[in-house]
Amino acid sequence: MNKTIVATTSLAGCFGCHMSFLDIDEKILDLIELVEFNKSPINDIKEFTRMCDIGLIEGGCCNNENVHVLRNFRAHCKILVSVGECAIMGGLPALRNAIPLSECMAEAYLHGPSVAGNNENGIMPNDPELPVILDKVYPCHEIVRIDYHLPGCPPRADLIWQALVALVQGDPLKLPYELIKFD
Amino acid sequence: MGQKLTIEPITRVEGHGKVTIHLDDENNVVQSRLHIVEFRGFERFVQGRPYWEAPVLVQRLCGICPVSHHLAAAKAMDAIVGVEPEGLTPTGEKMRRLMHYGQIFQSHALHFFTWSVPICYLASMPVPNKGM
Amino acid sequence: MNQLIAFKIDGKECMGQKGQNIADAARENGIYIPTLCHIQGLKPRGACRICSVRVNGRLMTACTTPIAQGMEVDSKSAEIQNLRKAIIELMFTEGNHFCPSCEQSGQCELQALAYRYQMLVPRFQFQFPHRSVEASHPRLIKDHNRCILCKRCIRAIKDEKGRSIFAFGKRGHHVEINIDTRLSKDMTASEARQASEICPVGAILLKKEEGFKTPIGLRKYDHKAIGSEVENS
Repeated sequence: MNKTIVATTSLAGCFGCHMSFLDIDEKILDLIELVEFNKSPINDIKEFTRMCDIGLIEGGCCNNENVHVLRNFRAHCKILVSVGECAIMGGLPALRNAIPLSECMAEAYLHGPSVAGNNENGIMPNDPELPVILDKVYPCHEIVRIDYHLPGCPPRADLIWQALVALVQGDPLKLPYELIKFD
Repeated sequence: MGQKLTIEPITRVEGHGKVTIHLDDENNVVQSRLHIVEFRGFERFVQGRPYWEAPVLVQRLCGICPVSHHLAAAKAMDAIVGVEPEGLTPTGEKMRRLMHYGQIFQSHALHFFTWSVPICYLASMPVPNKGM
Repeated sequence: MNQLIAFKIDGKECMGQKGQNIADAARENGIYIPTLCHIQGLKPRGACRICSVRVNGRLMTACTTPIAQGMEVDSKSAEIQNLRKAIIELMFTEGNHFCPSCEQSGQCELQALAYRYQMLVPRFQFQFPHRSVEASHPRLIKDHNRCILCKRCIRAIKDEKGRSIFAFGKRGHHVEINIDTRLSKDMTASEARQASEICPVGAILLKKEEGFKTPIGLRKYDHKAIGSEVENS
């Protein structure tokens, strides 16, 4: 039987959802029977090598690189799943949405207690390699079409596991009350 | 100007990084740069929140070491409310130590069982050479 | 006065007192109609619309509609369920509801309703409005990011002469809850606690020495959906 191909990525997230995914513990052995990973930080494949069945997205979009990766995932995955609050609603990084970006940058690089006095020329990160930061943090479904959403910060390991198994086997998603939490 | 090699994303670390290696015309390394590509603005938006929210807020800085951030914020809260390290209750101090050891233990186990071991057995990429 | 009235909710025969509103009467008959702005004992305001039902074919709010003889109430059709879910989604997108860092998470009625109606993602665009956190009051913090303007605090928290301590300030899009500093300057600790407990979300917070006191897993809505206590009674 052909294994389901899964790709994962972390955009403006903290990798907590990937960690929660790994919290399935010994079921990771069942997972390997069930799926094969393509592009993912878990296995070091950096570019898509083929079309994937399922793409798991962690984190929202806070810079143009995130948007680029997300669109690339949409182009290469038949099913896209927003995993975690950041992907669904921007998560805590979206707390900056009500604050001008310039204020956030100034605090981090000019006036914060760990930088004040050490950045006399007032340099902000300006390397051309760096992605351009967006005015706001955007939820993934406001950028591309997302097929499923798994809430939680992080989503419970069992929720990710059950949802993934259901998607692989083509069963309807049953999301028990105790697993749907926003925190 | 010579070639530029890009490694992106850096995997098996928290956070989003990329490395660029700049080469000259003879393919000698001129400069290697580590780029921290993500900016989220936590420094600014934790300000103005009730102080007891801070430890929970900053856990979300990193999903791999949330406890470390939690404890760092707890220390900062101590400073804000005027508690010296000696002023912590013995239980509080022991709890923090225990949590910290737990974080170290979890982090090591995580790295070994889910980052290093799978790459040796399930890898889609060759095992890195010795000395690399 | 104590006249009994027979009516139907979702086909189930119910009895209630004359003058009672549908939401309260349903509760006494073991049927849960969700309410956010309304709690039993307060004068209903119909502010949040989450209790919308179809009464004899018309959309009404259950908290402001008195029961009547022979009334037929629809509270569980797909249309009503979807309407309620949409209202919850509107509230989530209209304010700044960051559950992961909110100390009321797990005890918040808005979040509990989102769980009950299985809101995975709102269908509306997030607004991320600019709202303030105000901590000038000696006992209370107001976090306007989370306020859903239900007016519970206005109606419930009064001084000894019956004057409201809370009131709406500003207009239109900018409406927010204000505390009357003069009336509330002698507010006791227990009155402040009452104010924070009446708030269905985490908009009125106590200035206190502990936060996040209840561990995850033991919080009010961790295991049981809101309303299940009514349905199982």
